[in-house]
Amino acid sequence: MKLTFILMFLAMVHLSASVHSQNTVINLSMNTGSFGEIINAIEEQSEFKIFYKNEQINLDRKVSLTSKKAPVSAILGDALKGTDIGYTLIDKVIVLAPVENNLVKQQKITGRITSGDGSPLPGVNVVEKGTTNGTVTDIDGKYSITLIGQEPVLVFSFIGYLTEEVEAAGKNEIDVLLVDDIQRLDEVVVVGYGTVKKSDITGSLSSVTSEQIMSLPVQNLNQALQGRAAGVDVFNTGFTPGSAPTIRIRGNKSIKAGNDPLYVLDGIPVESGIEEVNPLDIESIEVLKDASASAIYGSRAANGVILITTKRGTGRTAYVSYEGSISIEKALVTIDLMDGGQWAEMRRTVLRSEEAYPYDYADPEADEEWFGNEMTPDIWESVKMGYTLDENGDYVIDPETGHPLYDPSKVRSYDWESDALRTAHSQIHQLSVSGGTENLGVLLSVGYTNQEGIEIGQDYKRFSPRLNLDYQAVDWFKIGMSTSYSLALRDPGVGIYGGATSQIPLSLPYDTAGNFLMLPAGDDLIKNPLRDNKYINIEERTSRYLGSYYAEVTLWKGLKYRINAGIDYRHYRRGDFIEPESSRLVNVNSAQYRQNERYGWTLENLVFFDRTFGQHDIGITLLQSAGATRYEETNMEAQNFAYVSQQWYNMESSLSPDLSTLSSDFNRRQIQSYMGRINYDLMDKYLVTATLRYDGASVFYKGNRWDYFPSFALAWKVKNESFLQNINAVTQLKLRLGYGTTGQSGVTPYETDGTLVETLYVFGETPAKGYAPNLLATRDVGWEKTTTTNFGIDFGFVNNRISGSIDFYNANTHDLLLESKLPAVTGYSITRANIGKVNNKGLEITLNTINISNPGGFRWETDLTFSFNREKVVEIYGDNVDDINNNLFIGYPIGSYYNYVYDGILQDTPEDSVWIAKYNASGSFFETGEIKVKDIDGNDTINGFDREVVGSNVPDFTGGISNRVAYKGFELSFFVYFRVGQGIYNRARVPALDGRYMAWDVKYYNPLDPDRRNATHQQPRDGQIDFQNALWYKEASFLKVRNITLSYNLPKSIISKVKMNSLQVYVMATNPFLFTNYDYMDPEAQGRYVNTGWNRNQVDPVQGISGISTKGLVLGVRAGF
Amino acid sequence: MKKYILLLFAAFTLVTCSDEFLDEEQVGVLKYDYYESEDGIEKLINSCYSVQRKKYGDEWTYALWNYGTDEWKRGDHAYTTHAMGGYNDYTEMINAVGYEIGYKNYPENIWTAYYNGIDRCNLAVEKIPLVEGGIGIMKDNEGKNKRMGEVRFLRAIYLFMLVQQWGPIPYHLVPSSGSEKEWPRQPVSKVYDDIIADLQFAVDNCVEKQNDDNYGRVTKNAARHYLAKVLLTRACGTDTDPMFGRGGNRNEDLARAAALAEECINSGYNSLLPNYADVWEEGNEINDEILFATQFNQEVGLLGGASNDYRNNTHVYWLNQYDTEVGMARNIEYGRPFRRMMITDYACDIHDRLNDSRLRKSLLEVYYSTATAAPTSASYKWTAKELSFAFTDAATDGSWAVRYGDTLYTGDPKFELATENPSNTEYVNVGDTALVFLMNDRNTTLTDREIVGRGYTVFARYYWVTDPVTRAPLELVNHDTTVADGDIRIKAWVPGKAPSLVKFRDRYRADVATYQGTRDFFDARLAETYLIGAEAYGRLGNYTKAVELVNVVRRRAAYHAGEERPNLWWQFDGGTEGDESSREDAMLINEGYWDSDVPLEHYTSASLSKEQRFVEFMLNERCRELLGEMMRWEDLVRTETLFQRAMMFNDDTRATGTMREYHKLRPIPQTHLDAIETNGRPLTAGEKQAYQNPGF
Repeated sequence: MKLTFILMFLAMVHLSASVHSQNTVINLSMNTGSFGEIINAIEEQSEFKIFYKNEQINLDRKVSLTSKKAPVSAILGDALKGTDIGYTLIDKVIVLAPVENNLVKQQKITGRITSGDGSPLPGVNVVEKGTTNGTVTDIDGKYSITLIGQEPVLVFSFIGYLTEEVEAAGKNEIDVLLVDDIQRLDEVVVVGYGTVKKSDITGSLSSVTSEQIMSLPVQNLNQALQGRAAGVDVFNTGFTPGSAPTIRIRGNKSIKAGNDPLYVLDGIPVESGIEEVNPLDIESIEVLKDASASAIYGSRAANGVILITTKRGTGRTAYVSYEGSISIEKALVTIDLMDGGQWAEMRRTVLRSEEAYPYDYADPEADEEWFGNEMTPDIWESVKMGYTLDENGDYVIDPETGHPLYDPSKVRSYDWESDALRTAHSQIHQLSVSGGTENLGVLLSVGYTNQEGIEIGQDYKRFSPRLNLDYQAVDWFKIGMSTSYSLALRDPGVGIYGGATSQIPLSLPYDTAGNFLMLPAGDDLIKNPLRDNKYINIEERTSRYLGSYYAEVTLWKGLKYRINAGIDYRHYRRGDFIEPESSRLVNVNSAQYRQNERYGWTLENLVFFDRTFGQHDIGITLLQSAGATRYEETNMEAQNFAYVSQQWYNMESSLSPDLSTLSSDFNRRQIQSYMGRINYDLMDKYLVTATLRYDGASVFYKGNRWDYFPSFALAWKVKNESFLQNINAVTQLKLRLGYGTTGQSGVTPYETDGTLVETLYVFGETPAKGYAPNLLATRDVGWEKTTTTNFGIDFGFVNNRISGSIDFYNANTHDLLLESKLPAVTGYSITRANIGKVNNKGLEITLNTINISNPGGFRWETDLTFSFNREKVVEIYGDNVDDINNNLFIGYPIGSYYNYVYDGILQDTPEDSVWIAKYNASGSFFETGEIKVKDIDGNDTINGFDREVVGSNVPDFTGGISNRVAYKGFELSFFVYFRVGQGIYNRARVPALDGRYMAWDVKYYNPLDPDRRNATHQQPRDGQIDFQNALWYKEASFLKVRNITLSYNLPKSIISKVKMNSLQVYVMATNPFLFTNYDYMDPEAQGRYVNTGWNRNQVDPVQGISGISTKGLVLGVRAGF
Repeated sequence: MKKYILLLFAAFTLVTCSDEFLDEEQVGVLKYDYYESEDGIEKLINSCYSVQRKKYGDEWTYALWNYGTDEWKRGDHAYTTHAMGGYNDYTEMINAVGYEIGYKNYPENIWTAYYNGIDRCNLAVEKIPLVEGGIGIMKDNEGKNKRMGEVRFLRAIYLFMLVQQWGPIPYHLVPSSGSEKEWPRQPVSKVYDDIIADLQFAVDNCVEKQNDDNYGRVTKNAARHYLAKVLLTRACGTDTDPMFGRGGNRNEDLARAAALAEECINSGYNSLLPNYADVWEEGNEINDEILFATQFNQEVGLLGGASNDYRNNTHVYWLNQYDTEVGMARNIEYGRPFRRMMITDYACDIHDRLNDSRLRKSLLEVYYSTATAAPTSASYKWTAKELSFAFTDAATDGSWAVRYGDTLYTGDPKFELATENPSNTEYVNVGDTALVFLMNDRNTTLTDREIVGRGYTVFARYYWVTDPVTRAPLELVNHDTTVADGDIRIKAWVPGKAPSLVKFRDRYRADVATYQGTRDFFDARLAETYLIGAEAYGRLGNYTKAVELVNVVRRRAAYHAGEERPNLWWQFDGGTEGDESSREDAMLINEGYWDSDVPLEHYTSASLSKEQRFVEFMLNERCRELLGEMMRWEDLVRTETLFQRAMMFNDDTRATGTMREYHKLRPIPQTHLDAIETNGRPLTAGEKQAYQNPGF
């Protein structure tokens, strides 16, 4: 046996081995003999094995012994006397070697290997470089190795971590911190219906790891993806706690059918509402971006697929972890409102425009009339504070101007905004236990999130237990499940912020006696919202059960059968109770009780065949699946209840039941699929993946239900070619090319069969509901399809110090289901047809660099993602004509904004007078101080033809940069997210400036104020402002520092005393900085999507934005036991 | 092991289903085969009726039927630059291209809804005879014909609306497959022929009276009324263009119209209510005068959602801005003011208000305080200056004045009732008169002093500015005036601050903000039948019969013996306080009425012939009787007087000056021009232009 091999073996067992007695007595039959004979005798008579290098030992040497019967040690001592050979007795092995090697050069090294977060890494390979001498770390991450080389270097390697080499000469303790290898080439990743080695991926895929998810206190999965995965655009529509951001993978592809990706949780496709999954349970998220990767999900994959894998129990030792954080949050960006003095001046400006305010300065008598008599005494009192009074209570006249002395900054201004906001306190806790036995893996976790909103009234709580099990019943049969339940309670708030910021700053919420003022400004339409949280109760309660079950049978070498079953159950309930004391326009209390239930199931049969034949690796996957989703809802509304405590739980107690509203709905959809996939790998250099999916869906009419979704991908592992093998600078290089087709249904259940619509009528008092033809049957429509071509490069240089991928893609969505226009004289305005086309092309870059990796433990890493997508509508109705009503423009993104083009404010200049005269002559009504717009078609008339696409809600590019600097147990990291080139279209950006309602502090035109001549907004006046929607749009690029985190892993020496494996504490600033050119609230929130009509990608400018964005401070701890 | 595999393959086969797995089971959603049953056809017929509601559902309701006429002009919430204002002023916003570039597309809304209604009717006409085994009314042919009569009546009135608004229209009388692309316009005369055939069928087959459960369905009288109106309309046309001419035989049509009107009047099933105001009393929508009405009631579930176009929203558009005045808060009593409409001078001035009660009964002028919390504003107290301006018998220092016998002092509360109770420390009481949008005329003696002296807010149509010293009237004005040194402002009517039409107000809604009105909208009432009959007779030269019929309406319009008169009547209409004598006789006219000019009638020229005066008189009488009832635009088009009268009597239309003769028709929606084909291809630009109505 080769000695080195043996030594390695020894090293591996030495921990558990007990020492065999060197006192075992050997009885030799001779007094003299060859050394070889003695060795043979010892081996025959004892359990000892004796190892040596032949060239060092002379077996034929004659030896004379003093005793025939003696312990082994004595016999060997005798036999080796006078030679330079010594012996070492280890366990049952005796090693013979020249004495100086054993006694002088033998060096024993011990140490401990930990990962970045300070937790011990068991199973790390520790090998002496250039030898086969090695060991692995134990459960505590500890190792011990006896070195044999002259200039020893230890190599520490572990799957998923970057390999470290440390010079060992002269040391006896080496502790190593292994750093995550983001590339993890040998790691397997989930690709849908199986896994594949990361290095063998042929499609375009982004991964987000649990570490990345845990690096921010996120409430939901989609937040975790923001800026982490190239090509995945995550943006908020609002900031209310518990609201989920919108996610777009490589742009918008569909106009009517929606653009949300398909979520697959532990192998089972689930319906929307993924925010109910606890992010801390996630092991990894894989985003399948191109069709070659996602086409295995066929008809549902047009918008990309997000595969979510939850953590599972492994290892035989129980591992308990706790993760907790508390945070405080404040508003990041609020509305910059006018103060009392500014508002008063704005009102005067309006009054002057009507010649109702005869002074071009502030006059107390006129103010008393317009603020006191026309508004309220309180308001006049506020304004009056701006004037200086003498001891007699008379107004002091400024001798210079001859006008009453007035200082707008002294005008009383009530800060309504701050009454609506608070410092919010939130906490997240997660306790999990994982472990198992040889045949069983268990993970049990319980998560709890309690997030308070900074707007009074808003909060979100979620409780989410999970149980994942895997059981290897016999060697050919395995079953398992992953199940989770979550209960989320959400109070979306009652809009106090919106109400408070609509209040006139001169008004007061309470009178001097402390009585609540419902109409603080004396205006019926400006109601005081500050009691709303007490008198309006809104509660959303969502239960979700997600279960995924499997059984797997190994039938034959490489041949497996697996059955997956999934359940997705969601129940949502919302209750509203509004009392007349609230600021809502109600005379009696009213309640609304809405609930819906969605139940989906999936059943999949899978056959896998994976075999290697020489240089050919073949993997075949076959799938048959079926699934259905059933939905039902009930809504009820009633008013006028005798008592308040019932809220919405005793609707029948309504005193006016005839005013009750009732509705319910039901639908069900089914899908059936067959899929086949072949993976072929030749010589670990050339990879081919081909898939074909055949899907049928119930929403289409018979005969058009079924369709094929093929894909094909090639990858060439260039690095594995001989010409690159010896070029060390290149660690990895792979080229990928993919092509495939994915789909989306785009129709709702039942509509293709032609439906009737209810009509309302009454004969006298007899209800006469009718049913009229609604939509024509559209039996010939089929799937919307997206065909994507993707070219990608994966690279790694300098031992993967620089690594990443670049992807180019071109996705053509065709056969979009749109509403093709019919002449209305047919009785129908529209029918549905597969007619539209949309194109998305783009570039994605992911770059990971290890800038510094110092053996002393200092390490700096940077991750960068960058996505650039160009989205455009190619065809709408085939006539190359824009559809203005549905906001669709050929050559522009789906979510485009179309309007007049703002061209400043009309000034009191000769040029603008000429301009005004010119356009007023053709029927316009421009005046100085109003908004000027561009005459796009140059025909000297401003009309609807002078509108154009001014922008869109689609960014030019997005990205994220994260940096981590680690030293010893400390790590400092920050993450920057940017989104550039998109715009926001929001009516609230252009306040009425009518002297009646509140406005944010815009720079409006005021001819009396030289500073306000060069204004952005119109001159305040009562009545409708023309072309103000030209100001609704504003470009809203931004860069946000999402977090700065400092964490510290406590040394093992300390925490082991309290029986802990790891303990990390961190402090994090969330959203500490925002850089933007947008001037009205947080540009990250785009506002709510239009929920009527069929271009679902329009943001509704009227809806506004819900919630205020926050910045915060988080204190957290992660502990492992 | 085999055991397990077998088990698993069993699971495999469980989901290996056939295509049937993908079949949709209809649960909550109905589809076309529902129409194979009698129940389904009844529901289809109900849906034919519900189309009527569209007309009253949104802004088009006044924009297409009252704007741009001699009766009504823009309120202050309908600017020229906004689409609704454009319908009054006939700006470019209402042309077909205007629709495309984003202006409010009211005609297209109506066009689409009515064609949808026609298709429903066509489907019902086709399906009713196919009903077999009916157990309801359609169990026999007679019953089927009753329903057929209803459906054909509805189809006729939908076509009638379209032909009046658009002239030659494309249409089919058979159900659509949705795939027809070629839609040539049909000559107006053909449309009238089809309408008359449908209505005649309804006259022949519908029931005389519907029972309570079927109230609102078509009756013979409804059909007679509409048929008379259609025939009168056809007979008024003078265009002989093969496409635009209305066709028919003038005298035969008029005679038939007159006969139908009399048949309706004399049927015994309908009669005029004694008091004009009662017709409009809320809760009295089902009354003997109503021939046909679009049905609504207070059942929230049958009124549609807040944004439903098939609600009755007419109650908001006519209301003016009362709620920002002192003592007033918005409430259900006075409604939600959308400030779209302002009455024209013409519509005010053609009333003999001493005898004719209709104008004051149609307008809401006086508002009683609704503010529940008493403001403490100084404007609720008399100032010395106001007192000194207000009354003739005032202390020279303005410290007191006498009004209606009461002595008032500086600082006294302003509102009427409060003065009767000196211990009341509040300045305004709910129920006090707080606001008057005063309807008076050029002959008024009202002065700025009297307005100030009234102690409540007054917006008068006219008032005299007086000399501050001599108090002599100086100038009659109808605009804002600032008196003396600027601290008393006298206000006159302006858009948004003028009387509201009271006919459609709806206090049965859930609350003031609710859009969905609960009142029936009267499409046809017997008073109009009288006017149709009168006009038909008069146009035939039978003035005797014309006078006979029109006097029935005028007699009812008069103040009746013992009828209490509003204060404004004796203050401004020439009446005497306490006088409750009958004014009926004074309202009656005779054949000689049209022999010469009558200043009250505001004839468009002093040199009109008797025939012309008669026609203009009938338009005046229709204005007096039917003010705001969504007929005026079509009346003016029918009588070919739209351009002349709108330009003459509608200040806004005249001032904007963009109206042309061709505005008597609406532009065909651009979407229609873009969607139709000819010879299997879309229309060229030239063909679209040729298809479009002239001028657009």
